[in-house]
Amino acid sequence: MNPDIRRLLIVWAALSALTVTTMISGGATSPARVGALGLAVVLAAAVIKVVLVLAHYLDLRQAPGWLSGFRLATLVLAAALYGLALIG
Amino acid sequence: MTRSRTPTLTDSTIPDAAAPPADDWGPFTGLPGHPLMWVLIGSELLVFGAALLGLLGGRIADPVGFRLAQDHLDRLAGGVNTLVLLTSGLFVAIAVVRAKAARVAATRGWLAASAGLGLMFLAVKAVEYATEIGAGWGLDSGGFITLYFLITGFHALHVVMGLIILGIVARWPTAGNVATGAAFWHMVDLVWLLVFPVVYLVR
Repeated sequence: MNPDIRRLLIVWAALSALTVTTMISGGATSPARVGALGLAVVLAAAVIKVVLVLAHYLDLRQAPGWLSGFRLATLVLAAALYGLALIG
Repeated sequence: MTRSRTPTLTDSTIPDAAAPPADDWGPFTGLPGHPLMWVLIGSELLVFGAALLGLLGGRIADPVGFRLAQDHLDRLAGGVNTLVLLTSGLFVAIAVVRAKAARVAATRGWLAASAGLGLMFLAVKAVEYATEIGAGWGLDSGGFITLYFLITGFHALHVVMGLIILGIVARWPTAGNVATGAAFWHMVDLVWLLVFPVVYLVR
């Protein structure tokens, strides 16, 4: 198999596993409120998924400076969202 | 005696020593696809990021109203649509690999498969909207519901635009065109990766 396609398949499997983790932690099939830890897991998984898509689907691993910048921006946004979610 | 002609702004023969080469995009040089697509990606992430911050800010003002409205969303459908978009993104990324190898038929095949999943995403979203509108909700309901329709509707319009772009690059599948179209599609994917948890799960 083409090594680039093998890498993309591994990344897709990781993204899918993180999505399932998000759905479980976020109570996708439950009406219960999500606690602070659950919210942290949900948003952390989102950040990891965004960085994986940027690095591998969008191939930003070839431009590490840009990847670092997007990673930092996503982390800042997720931290702000987490803070607002805890207040609400 | 002949007089020399005064150069004009439209004279393409005038050399401009200060101008960079046509393919020099400064810090954007080397990014996959057309550099302007990255300006768009950054802008879209800022717009949706601000919208999501606004949503959670509004939730602070009306936690009970937001919670009651949010409980009616189909969270499982939102999760399934996340998997659909991620798989669609995989197919587009494979199309880029095939386009670099000048495999035109394979490139078009992967782009078509990706577009098919994009249509599936829209179909699931349409079922969600039909259920919610059938329950009496709409863009003018106010509070969480209005923000929900605005954010997810704006995203769905980007999916439609992405499908059009995939169709265009499938018609002219050079490596550069496919990389640029793929960048737009992945941007739509990235936005949803943030929209889904914040709109559907944070409660």
